[in-house]
Amino acid sequence: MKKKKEAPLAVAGRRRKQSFAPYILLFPSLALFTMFTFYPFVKTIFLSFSLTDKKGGFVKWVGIDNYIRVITGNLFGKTMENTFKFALMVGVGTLLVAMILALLSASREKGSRLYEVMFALPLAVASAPASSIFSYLLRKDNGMVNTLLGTDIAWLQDPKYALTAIAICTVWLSIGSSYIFLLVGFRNVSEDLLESAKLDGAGPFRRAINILIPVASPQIFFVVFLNINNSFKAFAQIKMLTNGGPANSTTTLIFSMYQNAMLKSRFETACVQAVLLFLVIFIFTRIQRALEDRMVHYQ
Amino acid sequence: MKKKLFSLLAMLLSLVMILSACGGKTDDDGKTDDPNSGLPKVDVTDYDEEAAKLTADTEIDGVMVPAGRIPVRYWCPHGTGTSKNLDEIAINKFNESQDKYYVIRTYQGGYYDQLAKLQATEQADLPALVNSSSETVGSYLHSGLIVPVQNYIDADSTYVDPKLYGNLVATYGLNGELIGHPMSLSLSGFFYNVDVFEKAGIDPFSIVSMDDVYAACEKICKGGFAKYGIAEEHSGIWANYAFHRAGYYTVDNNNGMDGLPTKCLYDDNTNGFADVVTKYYTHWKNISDNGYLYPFGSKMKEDLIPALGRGELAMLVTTNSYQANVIDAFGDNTDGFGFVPMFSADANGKNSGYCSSGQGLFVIDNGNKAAQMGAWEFIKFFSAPDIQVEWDKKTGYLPLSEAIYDSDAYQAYLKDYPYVQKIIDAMKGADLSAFYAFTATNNTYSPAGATALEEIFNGTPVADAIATMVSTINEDFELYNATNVG
Amino acid sequence: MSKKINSGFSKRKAKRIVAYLLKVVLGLAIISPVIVCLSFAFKPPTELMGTGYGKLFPDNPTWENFKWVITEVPVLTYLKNTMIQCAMVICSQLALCSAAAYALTFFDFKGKNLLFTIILTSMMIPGDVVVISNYIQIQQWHLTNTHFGMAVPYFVGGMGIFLMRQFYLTLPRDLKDAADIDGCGDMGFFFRIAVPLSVPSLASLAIYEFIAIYNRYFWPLLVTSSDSMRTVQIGMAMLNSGESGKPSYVLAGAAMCIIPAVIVFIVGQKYLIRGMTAGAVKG
Repeated sequence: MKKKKEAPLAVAGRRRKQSFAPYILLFPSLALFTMFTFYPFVKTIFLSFSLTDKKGGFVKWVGIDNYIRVITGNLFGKTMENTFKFALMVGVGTLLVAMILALLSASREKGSRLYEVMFALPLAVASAPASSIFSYLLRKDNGMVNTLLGTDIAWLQDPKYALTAIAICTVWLSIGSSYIFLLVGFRNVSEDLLESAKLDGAGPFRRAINILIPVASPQIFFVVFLNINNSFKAFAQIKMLTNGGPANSTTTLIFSMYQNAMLKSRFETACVQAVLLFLVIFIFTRIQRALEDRMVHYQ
Repeated sequence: MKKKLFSLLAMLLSLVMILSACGGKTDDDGKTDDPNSGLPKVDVTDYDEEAAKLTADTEIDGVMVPAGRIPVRYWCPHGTGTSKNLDEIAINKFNESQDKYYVIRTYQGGYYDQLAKLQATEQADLPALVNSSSETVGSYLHSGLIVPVQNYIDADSTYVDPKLYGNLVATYGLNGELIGHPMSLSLSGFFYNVDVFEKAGIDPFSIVSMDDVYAACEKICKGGFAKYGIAEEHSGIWANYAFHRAGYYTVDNNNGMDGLPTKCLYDDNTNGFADVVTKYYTHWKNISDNGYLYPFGSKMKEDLIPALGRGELAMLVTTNSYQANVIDAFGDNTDGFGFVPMFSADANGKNSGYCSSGQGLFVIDNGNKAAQMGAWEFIKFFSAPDIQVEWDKKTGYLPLSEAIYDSDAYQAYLKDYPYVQKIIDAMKGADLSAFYAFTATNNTYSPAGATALEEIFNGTPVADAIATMVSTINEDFELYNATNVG
Repeated sequence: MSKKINSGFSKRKAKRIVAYLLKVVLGLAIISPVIVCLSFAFKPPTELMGTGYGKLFPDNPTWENFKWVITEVPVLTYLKNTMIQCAMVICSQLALCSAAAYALTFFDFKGKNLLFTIILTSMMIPGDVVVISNYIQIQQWHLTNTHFGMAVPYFVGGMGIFLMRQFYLTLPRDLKDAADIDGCGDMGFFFRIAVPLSVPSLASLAIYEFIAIYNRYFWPLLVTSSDSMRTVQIGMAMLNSGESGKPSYVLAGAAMCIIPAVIVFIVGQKYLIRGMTAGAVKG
């Protein structure tokens, strides 16, 4: 996030003579990573080029056949479309809501704790109970959302709305943490800066656009990054609300992977999807970093 | 740096290859997928010595097992409710009655969570007993994990043949040899709201085919007797029951009896089945297009059953095991609902009986013969008529055999639930040869049908939806067969 | 003149109060799903069978649902286990991630960039695909059905190292130089200065992990085989499973799952929000 700060420290580091300290500090982390993340992942890459039995064991080498099968499969296009649409909805939706909430509470006031707690509260709710609640709110008949909006939408049973419905639930789950991160950013802005803008006659809206948002841009970038990243990995709410349906309209890459690995014992297919998901996240991270370098304003 | 990363990856990759090669070898010994060869032998003896060796209380899976008792670990997909009935009616009593075995039941997620865990668990850590649903019999048959209960039946002279109903033998057995032992019987079909049907002037038991279903929906909705004509619990299973009811097999290799299926038959018209499939799904399309359908995918306990109770919904396709929830929904109006067993996909069909739904118990080869014997003892205990009657009364499951049905206690129960009598009469009136296809991968096979329905309800032409379903299922069969035989 | 000031003052004050009330209403809207859950959990099952879904508050509040859940599912044990998991994983993550991030920020050594790249990459690996492989590993070590076995794969995380490194990078260089001059030593600087200053970042990491642990379902299901070891998410799945049970029970279970987390949050947020916004993150 704050890349440019690296320079002085790197210099500081260079003066240091070699010691075992960094290796000792890093050893436990790397040992655990190797055992529980890298080794299995390398195995994943390996298995994505082979066929597996129902225990996930190697059967035979098939090269890129699995990739061809997955990519040309009748679900692939839809799965990718859902994955990206979902990421966009969650990324933008969470940012907007959390940003509005954080701007509203940017300056401390007496009693501000009350609404701060309420704005951040969704972060204490796990996805399973949240899904149970949202499945009530989003029912077609006697659903609270339909009652409030005066609509008659089968949110979770109509392919046109199902993904949006899950995105709404996910946005709600994410606003708490995003709100706190953004609040950190906004509260970092010095009171003097805001006060002088006020004296210049800038209204709250102008102050937000011209001062708060630019100064908090590292946090904003981080929130976008975090939410899109999480959306690529979100599946508990999909499993509980729609189970990938209706008509696969909520089947995302991670959900399909989960189904293949856990419920269908088609490990090689899950491995291919894991590698693809890894690539998606990798490319996304690259783009995000490139954009951040260009756009983020550092104090 | 990239070079380094690459060489690191290459190193790890080769390490994995070596490790997985080793893993492959150890997996091979002892177990095969062919259900007819290499089965572990069954020794029906008393295992007193094994029990005597256990001289201290030990904690297993969080439960204290008394000294001298062989622990029998039992994995169970029932989370709440049913599991408590199971404990009270069978397990606690079994443990009290025994001085040699001790059953420890633990929940292990849904059917497919449990299966995935069984497949990934080392033999020594496996339970001796599991239960699972009737449509997963094929998965257990081909899992390489089970000891068919028939082995025990043949070797155990104390086993009294309970004369199970024919659909149970067809569902849990291959050519009459039982793979797992039925523990509960339910039937698919539909609950209906008596009031709505009376007002509409329809006899629910006259609905025996998909054509009748459509006609009834039309009459009910057009007459304004209910907002929705019909709803289906979210699953692809009902279509298969309807096809089997019409006398068709849904997969090749004799519906999976002669070996792993290689393709499904939904698009095979040699006996006219493809036409029946198309017609069946077209009926559903019309039901949905005309607005007779409660949105497919709505939840049973939250939406569908309450709507049935309120008379907003006329028919609800599911199994009769939802009895307790339906009774709740109707409250004081105890005669407000009934249940009609599954309609046939086709009016001209053979009406070859009702597949059994419900649960079966499977003995798992965990390498511990004494524990497996304990599992078998529990199965015998649980299938005894007096336990079964109590179980059926508590859960609403149907009797497994004529002996249970004839018992005084069950007859007394039927007096309180006259609608159950009608279900049993319908079942007994049919030939009971129909059974759900044996596939090792019901988790692809059955949901494909639900997805086809969802697509059809949302504008996909029936033929396209069927074609997608067929290719999804066939691809899965092909992959499974390429990787799991031998 | 004074009158004018007064009315101007009260006008501003009134505006502030209205704005404050609006924010509170907005806050209530945000937490409305939780309110609905708590309120519905007190509705008798029969009320939820009718069209009573539309009403926010129960006509005849009852404890029945909670009683049922407690007798059917050992929720309290599950909550305890989840908390043990949280404690183990969070402590380990805070220690190991800080240490690793410290090494990656304040030392120069061979392979540093490669190591950091590898750690960053690990954040992109979808966790679910390695679950079965990890299960097989834990079985080989005979750690199934133990708290340690359940926690150990999550003892360290790329996200944690990344987050802590981001923070250490913001520490002013002078601080380190001053410490060096004082003869503080590398470890001394770490324990006496870097760690205390990083409390807000540690708090964010703790929250992040708390949510992740609370949400985990399949891993605890695989690794544990007894009721006494299960976690909250499995309890929720049990309530949702099968034919038995009633909708109101599921909501009561959800409420019981939410309440402890909300209490922890309300107690902790004072330190959390204040800590995070106290300016330590300022560059």
